[in-house]
Amino acid sequence: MSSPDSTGSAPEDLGGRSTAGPAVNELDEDHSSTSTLGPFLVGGFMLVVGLVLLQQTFKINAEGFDPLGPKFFPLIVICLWLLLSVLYLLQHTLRVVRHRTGLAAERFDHMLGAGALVVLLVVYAYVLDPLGYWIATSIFFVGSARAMGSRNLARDIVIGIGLALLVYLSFTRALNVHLPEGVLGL
Amino acid sequence: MTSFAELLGGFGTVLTPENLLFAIVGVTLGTLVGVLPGIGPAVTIALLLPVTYNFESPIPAFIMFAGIYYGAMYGGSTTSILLNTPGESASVATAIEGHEMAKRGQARAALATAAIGSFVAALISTVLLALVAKPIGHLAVSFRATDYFALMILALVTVTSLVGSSLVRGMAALLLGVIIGFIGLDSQSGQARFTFDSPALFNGVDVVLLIIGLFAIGETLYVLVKGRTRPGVVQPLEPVKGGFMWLNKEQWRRSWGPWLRGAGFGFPFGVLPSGGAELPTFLSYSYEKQRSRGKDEFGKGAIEGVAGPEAANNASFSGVLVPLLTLGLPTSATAAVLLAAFKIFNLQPGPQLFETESDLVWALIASLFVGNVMLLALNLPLIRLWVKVLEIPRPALYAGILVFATLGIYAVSGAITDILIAYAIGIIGFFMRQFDFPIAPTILGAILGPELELQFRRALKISDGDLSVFVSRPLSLSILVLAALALALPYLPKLIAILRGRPAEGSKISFADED
Repeated sequence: MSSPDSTGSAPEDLGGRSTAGPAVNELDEDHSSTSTLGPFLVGGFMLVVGLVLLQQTFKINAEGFDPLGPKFFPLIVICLWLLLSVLYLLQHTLRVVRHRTGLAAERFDHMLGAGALVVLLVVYAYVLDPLGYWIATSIFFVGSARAMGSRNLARDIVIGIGLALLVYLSFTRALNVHLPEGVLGL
Repeated sequence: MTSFAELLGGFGTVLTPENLLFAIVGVTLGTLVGVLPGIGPAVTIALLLPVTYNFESPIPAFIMFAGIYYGAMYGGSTTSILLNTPGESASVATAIEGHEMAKRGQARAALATAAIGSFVAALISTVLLALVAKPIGHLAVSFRATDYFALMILALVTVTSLVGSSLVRGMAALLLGVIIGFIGLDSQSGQARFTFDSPALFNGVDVVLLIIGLFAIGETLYVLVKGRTRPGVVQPLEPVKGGFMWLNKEQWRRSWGPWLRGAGFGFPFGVLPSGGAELPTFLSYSYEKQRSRGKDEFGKGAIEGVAGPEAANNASFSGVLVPLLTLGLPTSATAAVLLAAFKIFNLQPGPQLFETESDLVWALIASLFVGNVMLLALNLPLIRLWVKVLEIPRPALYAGILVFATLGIYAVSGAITDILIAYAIGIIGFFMRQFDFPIAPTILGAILGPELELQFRRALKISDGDLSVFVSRPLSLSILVLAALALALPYLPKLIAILRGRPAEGSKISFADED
């Protein structure tokens, strides 16, 4: 945690700075990545997505590219998208060549936790129906808090079970929103 | 009926026990999410949309949503001042001066000037909204499809060019949204587009999924990867020192000017499609810094630097409602969610709204007054409660956000595929943050993209496919020219520097991403 004194950055930063992190943050650590590979991958991915979508545009079931038809507008947008992908790659390449630093990219720290969280989310989606909302959510809450660095298991279990029950009862009983009851048959 | 009489009618609607309850729920929830980092008004409203499916009348829902929007702004200032973490990006200026004030033992004064300034500005701007909305609506009746097309282009372009630090990335984010908007069956020809033959995608990607994915899930992953899962240092509140509403005479004297000027910046910039509250708060901050009596104190905790931007921030919301209600044109991510909410109730914001749903419109405007009175009453006396909220352990907080995010998606359709789609969008949102792509243009693109295409095809149908129809009408043409100018605007300082023969510094003017 940064000391309170280190956080008051100069107010001049307010307008001019890139805003992935606003001018002031509780953590003043520099997260920018020194690797220039990231933006190349992003640009490449954008290009591939653009090409796939271009092929999909031609597959839309309509005669020709009549401006009134369903194909014309997507075609323009996808062409612009491809153009932007190329521009993005070009900008990055030029920067790397000229200044040896590329476009904005942040370091991928704590990826283990993030990966675990994504797995937990997907599992949560699949077990929601069979296990039921209360059980699935309680387990998910404890797991995801842990993936995010919580080391207070007892607290997480209490909050998780309580929150899940509170949400389940208030949504199903008070708001008439259906949630899976699962094995408990609540 | 005059606007005044209709506004009185609006108060009549709001001041019923049921609607007052929704207003209280709205402002409390709004303050809560404003105080909490990582979740803003756009996500909160998106999460609550499914709850309102069962509502018979849209009026309570909109009263609640307006409360959430305003509440989030009041709450955001609390976090900025006490924790130095702007809960939302329009509070960045407040975070600078307000937090310095808090460190000097003036936390209460900073909180008070923010809250009272927000209140004053909200009252002024809501009066202005009540005055101008109907005339603009009348004016908009004469707008044709080409004008709407041009206006949407203008809104998309200005938001994209002003938000974030790169035009290429901003435009890419915008087009990503437009492309997501294409997914599903084309509303006019019924043809499937970008569905990859999967029936699950025929209905398109629901806006709620997109917002929850990009904001709630994307943000949580981002916070985790950045290691920001420990709570910050909350500045303690000093004992009450007297004065009226925590402000002494000198502080009142130094605050009222910035409040009024802030409201003056906020409202017009909210009306113009300039991307919400960032631009006016920034302008207000710069102005006060140059002109105010407390000039030397700036950067060390000047009360003007809190009073002005906070007033501008709140005033801009009433401004944003003008294009939203009269033209159906959202100019910020939260306004885009509100537009989605109108659609749920089969309402089309636009010139006719004041005729067909005049009850709703005036109740909404009246609820802004009522909500702000409640917020003033809620914020300062309950400040200790909001400080407690700031001390919630972050892992539990974000785990809770994920629980509510999933709940919100599940409530939309109950389909596992939708939950997985939202998670996938969340991962995209995470990568967008990692590589500094702004998020708000994607939301606007997804919501305005289909409208844009609709107006485009409608205009061409009338002109028999003649593309010159967009430039032959003076109004449409001038709006399109404005859009082109808006693209160049952020590069103006650079251009001027080059013209004067000086090396250009920095790349472009930019403002924070807003949710």
